Amino acid sequence: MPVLAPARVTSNAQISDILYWITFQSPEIVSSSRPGQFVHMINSDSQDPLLRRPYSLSAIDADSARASILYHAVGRGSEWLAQRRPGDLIDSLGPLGSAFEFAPGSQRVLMVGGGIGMGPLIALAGDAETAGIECVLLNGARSAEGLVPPEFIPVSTEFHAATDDGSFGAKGSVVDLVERWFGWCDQVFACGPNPMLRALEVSVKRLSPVHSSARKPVQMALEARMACGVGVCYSCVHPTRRGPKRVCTEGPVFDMRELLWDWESGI
Amino acid sequence: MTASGTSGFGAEYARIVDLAKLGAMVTKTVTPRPRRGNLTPRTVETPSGMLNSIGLPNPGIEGLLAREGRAWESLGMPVIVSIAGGSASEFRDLAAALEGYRGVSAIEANFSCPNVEDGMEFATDPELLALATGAILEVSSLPLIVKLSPNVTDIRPLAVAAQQAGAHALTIMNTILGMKIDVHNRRPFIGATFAGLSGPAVRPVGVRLVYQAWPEVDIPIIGAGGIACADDALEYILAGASAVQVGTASFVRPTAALEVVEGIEDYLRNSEVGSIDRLVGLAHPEPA
Repeated sequence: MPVLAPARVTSNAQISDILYWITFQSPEIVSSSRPGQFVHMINSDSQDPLLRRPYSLSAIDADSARASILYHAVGRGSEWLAQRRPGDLIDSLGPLGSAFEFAPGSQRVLMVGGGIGMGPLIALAGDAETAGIECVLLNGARSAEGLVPPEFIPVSTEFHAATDDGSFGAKGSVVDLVERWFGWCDQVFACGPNPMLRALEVSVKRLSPVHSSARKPVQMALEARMACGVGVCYSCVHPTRRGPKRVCTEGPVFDMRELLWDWESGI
Repeated sequence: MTASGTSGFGAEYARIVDLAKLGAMVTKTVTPRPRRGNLTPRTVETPSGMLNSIGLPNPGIEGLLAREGRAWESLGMPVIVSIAGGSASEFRDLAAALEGYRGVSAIEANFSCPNVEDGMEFATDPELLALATGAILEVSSLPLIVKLSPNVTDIRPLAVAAQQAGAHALTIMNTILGMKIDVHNRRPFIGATFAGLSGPAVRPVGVRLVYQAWPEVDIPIIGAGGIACADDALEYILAGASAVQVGTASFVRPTAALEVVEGIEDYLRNSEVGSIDRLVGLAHPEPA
């Protein structure tokens, strides 16, 4: 159940040239949060900027009632967030949206994250570690400063990187790394910009046996422009095989087979 | 009350806040047939506001009544159903379909949605407005609220036309038509090109329109547009509104409409006026 509650900042740090990591405490919100879900935060001291900002949770620790967020400081809202100090309170609404789910019997999982899309996958890798599920996490970014520093990744997670400019890890798209582990894994999880998710879908289809009825399950968490975050405004819809779906409430986690990437001749 | 389009079709907000203290909720607009809505992006933030062109996605009147028709009875507050049709006869059919649903307390005719094809016709032409208002009243036993648009040169003839056609109340105002252009790709930003501006930025326009309409009509006016706190609501009331709607502010704070109610109660306790009725239109000069 989502609740309106203050999040008390416990730490907030820049972890690369462009990435930030904030940790907050909120028993009401954190106790029921799961990887894939997000919190909707007021990032303003006034009515400008006006709307809440959705942030995926990138670490969840129910015992200490703390959760973290991986973010870019790219607009007025997230720049406000970057200035919060320990002890500050942030008006928050959450947890919101759907969560990633391990399939029953899943033993080996592959995760593909682009940019700050790594956030929910880091939280999920933490759950995999707790559950004894083997995990390979692939991180893509434009260049090295967009990659998550390894100390933020659970220790048991096998971690690989790709950058568009080759400044760290493999040169090229993170999706090019998928082939090496696709046969090994039981399940795939992904989050990142839509072009990365689209490329991943193409890759998964190419790597899957043509006549296989049991295609490996792929769950994708979408990023979308939101206003209300709770399903009433219909701003954040994404095309699916069953019509437009609200990313905030019917997602952000979707089964890849449901997703479309274009509005076909209108909606 | 909640403004149409900002609290869903029924109990969507009930899992977060208890809205039963509100005077009413106005549903998202329902149309004769299901609609999927407009292309994305559908919204964008603006200085102290937002542009939206959602395009009235809804399950159609039959689908909505099947889903919510009975559930409205147990919502704990009056439900006002917002309707929009493409012709006077479609408005009449929508109103007829709502007859007999005990959970429906009133109809708000959305004559002024800027985000659908021909959505503005009824709100800009007094004759068409009167025609559609009359068509609803032919078949409806419910109170009828007519929602007017700010996208007109003079709102007064439209307010008068609605009253003369028999409307029981007016909602002033809907969103203000606007647009945003993406300077990087040099194209309109919003999928449907134009969009309605709402939020604190538009409040002065709404207050002005209520102030202008109030001397012209005897029916109650419901003020809407950029209300985020009690003082905002009181501006509308002093301009002539008997009730107010809270919309965009609920996206930011789901408790916003409740806070407006509590804030008005505080204001009344701390002032000598006693009843809110005595504040309505009080900002107007005394008649000579």
